[in-house]
Amino acid sequence: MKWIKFLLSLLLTIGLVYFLDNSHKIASLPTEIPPLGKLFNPFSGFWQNGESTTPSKNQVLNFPTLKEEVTVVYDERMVPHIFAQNEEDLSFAHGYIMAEHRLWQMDFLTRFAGGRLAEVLGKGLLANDRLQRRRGMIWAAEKTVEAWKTHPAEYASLTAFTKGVNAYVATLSPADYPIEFKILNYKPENWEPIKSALVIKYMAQNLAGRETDLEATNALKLYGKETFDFLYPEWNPKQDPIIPKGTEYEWESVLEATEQTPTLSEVMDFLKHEPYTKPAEHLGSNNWAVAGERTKNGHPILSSDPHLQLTLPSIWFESQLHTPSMNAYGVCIPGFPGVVIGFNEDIAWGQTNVGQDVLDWYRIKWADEEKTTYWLDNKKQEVEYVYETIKIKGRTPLIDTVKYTFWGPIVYEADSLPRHDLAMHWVAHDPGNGQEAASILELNKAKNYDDYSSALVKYETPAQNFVFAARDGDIALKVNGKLPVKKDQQGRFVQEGDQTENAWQGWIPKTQVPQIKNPERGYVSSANQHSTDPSYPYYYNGGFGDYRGRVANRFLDSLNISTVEDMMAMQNSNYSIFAEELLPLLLTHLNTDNLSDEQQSLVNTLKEWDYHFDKEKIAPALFTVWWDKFYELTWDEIYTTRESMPILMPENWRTITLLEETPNHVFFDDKRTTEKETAKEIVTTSFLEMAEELKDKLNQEDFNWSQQKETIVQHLGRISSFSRTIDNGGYRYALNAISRIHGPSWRMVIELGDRVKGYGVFPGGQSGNPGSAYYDDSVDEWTEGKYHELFFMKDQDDRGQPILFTQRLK
Amino acid sequence: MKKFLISILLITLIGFLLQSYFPWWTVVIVAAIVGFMIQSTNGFWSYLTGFVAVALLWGIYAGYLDIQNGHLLSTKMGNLFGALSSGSMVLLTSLIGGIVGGFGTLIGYLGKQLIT
Repeated sequence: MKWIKFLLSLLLTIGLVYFLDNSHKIASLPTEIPPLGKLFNPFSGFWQNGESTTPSKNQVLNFPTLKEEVTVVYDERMVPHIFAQNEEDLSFAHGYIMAEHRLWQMDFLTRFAGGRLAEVLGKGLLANDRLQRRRGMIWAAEKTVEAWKTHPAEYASLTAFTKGVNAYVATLSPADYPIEFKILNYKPENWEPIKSALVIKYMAQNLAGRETDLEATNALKLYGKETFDFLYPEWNPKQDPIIPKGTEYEWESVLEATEQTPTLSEVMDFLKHEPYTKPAEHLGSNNWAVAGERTKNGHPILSSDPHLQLTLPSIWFESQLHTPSMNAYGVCIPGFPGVVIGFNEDIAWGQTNVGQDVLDWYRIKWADEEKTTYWLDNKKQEVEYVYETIKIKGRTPLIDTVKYTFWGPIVYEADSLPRHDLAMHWVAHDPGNGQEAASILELNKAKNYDDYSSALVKYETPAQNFVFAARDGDIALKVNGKLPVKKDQQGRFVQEGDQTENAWQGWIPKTQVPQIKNPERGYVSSANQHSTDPSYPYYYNGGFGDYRGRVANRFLDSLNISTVEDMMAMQNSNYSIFAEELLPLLLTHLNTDNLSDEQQSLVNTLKEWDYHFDKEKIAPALFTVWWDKFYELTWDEIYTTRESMPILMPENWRTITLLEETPNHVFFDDKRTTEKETAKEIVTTSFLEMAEELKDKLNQEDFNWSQQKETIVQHLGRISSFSRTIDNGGYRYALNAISRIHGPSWRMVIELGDRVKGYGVFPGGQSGNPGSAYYDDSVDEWTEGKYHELFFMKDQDDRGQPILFTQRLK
Repeated sequence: MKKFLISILLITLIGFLLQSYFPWWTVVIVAAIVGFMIQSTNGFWSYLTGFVAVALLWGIYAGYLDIQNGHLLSTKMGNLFGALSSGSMVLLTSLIGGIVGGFGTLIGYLGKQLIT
């Protein structure tokens, strides 16, 4: 009896400890239950991640790898100001400090990019991992690292960064692990240079990974060329390109003038693949620089607000990097050394994304049934196999065989459909020149236009619109990156992969990429719109913004004398030309004869609206829902077809011009009814649908645009209580392009006077730790459109702003 | 009663020292050893000894860390576990510690019973 009691309680205890020491999947819950004993015990569990509210103390840390002492001064917002004597020490310290604040984010991003999430989060993430592997993310990152190694001086900075991260990882005991590791129950691992490469590939995937080739190919086959060109014109006549319309190009394209890509799509079958989720299109980045003669103080002012998915921890990590040969301040990407967007003592620079399509699909003509060889220029080529081992938590690993061709990996495979296997050709697959770190470092050190230009010659992918302003008065903008030379229409559609002549024709020389310097109008600007008008000698296609660039230029034209405050007001402007152009048209076509009093009052609300997507207004909610319904009803036949295959959707600007110019067009007919509808009926029906959908919400007293939009800054690991909901205005087609999950990830305004002055804010905080007061301390300022005056330290003893503490690394 | 207090004191002290370096469940072993060395009058008292000791140890330490942190993290973690308040998170911590601690001393007690 005694034995039974003892054994029973022993077993029960062991069982209980086992239960509390491991995570568990319960069918009815969406996520695993974390290991409760591990997580709750105050000695190594989550309690240890609660940072003390009193500021940290000064620290001295010893690292034998450092050549000389490094001093890190933390300002009031926990921004590190790193003072090193050489670049290797600087990279080491930057790695150490990024890891100290953002280790889990760095781990998670690289696991996501490289398809290694299932290893720690279970089989639910397997689909993501497989797709990332099939896209060749690891393959591409490996090639990038090889390319880095050919530049020993620059590779040294990346290995120093790696050592810095790992020096931090080595200090960690389980109690010190970032809290997400504890909740998700896995351990930090060492950094490697390939992870920095994966960070770059991750940015490339987000910014240079969008295309609509399958959708366009099917649309062309379905509608024929005439209707296709009618529905999907490439050039919006109202577009205000980055390089102003009418600019003359005094050089010749490296391509033969008349070359056209074969119109293969006409003979192609419909492609029935389910396209994988693509990155969102032209999210909303803006940048501009105003010349000194148009500013109040006579100094150039540069503004840059890159837009990305809003996340916590923030995508950006603010830093000042100082050595005897450089002094740069700005935002950095966790996992890569250097300032990406920022300023130094002489210049400032910013980026918006280039929407040019640099990812194309080629269909493979197999030479045998087993799909081991394919035709290329009438010769049989063997596919190369890459075996991707994907570890899965609690299961045996999955080995995925990916076939590589001349073009790249075969991502879309369809065993049942002949000639439907598609290989991906992507600029980010190219190993590149291996000078990513060098181009950023040179930009950080640049003193003038020439330095900026030579730094950008080294910069490749993802292509960016780099705005520039210098204290000496120059302003400039370059559509810069590795941009393929394409034949006319090339890359808009899936292409035949059996002829090498269908490949890109090389790269646009850096002297011929669209660029502009000190224009007469006194400013340069970009907002993801077309790089140029169609007179530019090279063909390019892609996804471009049609509204923000126009509103930015309108504001800049109207501001004869600009101030820093004007620039901030512009970045926070909720005014939209999209609404300005569309709403009057909708209202003209609306049949108000049979509207109820309530519906009529909605019309009045809309009529009184000033096209500002301000948070407290109701009209933006009415307008956006009305537009969505109108768009869906107008293109109902395309939506129906899309149930069986991917089909391109017409652009919004095109839909508006159709409403304006051809309101009786057959496309406005709702195919589900026997009557023939015109735009008038569609406008009215969609208005009624909008009124019906919003009826309940409109009855709530506090309903407004902010509630309709429901902006959220989401935790990267989707841990809801680590996310923040936001109450603000903005709209994707306004400069303040805030949608539900996207928005300005960093707002920066720099005045390049005798002493450069910077202002900035991002929707988060420096710390990646939800248990720190610095995790999300800037969210409220960002929401209200406020800025921090950035503490650009002259030297390490500068106390122009209060500091928290210093770290001495020696 | 004296035994009860001495046991609690020993478990909390040794538990505090060892848990800072070893996994959280070390405290169960500490409780078991103390439960073995210092016999309680019966199984119920034995369980209660470990329960109170570890509940106090975990609860007080968690509460201290929570105050240091201004309840910032416990509020967020509480939301994750069904909108629990900071105080409830401390109590839950205390409870989890107590339950396993109680089993620790109980095993020690029952083990001693085997050889006496």
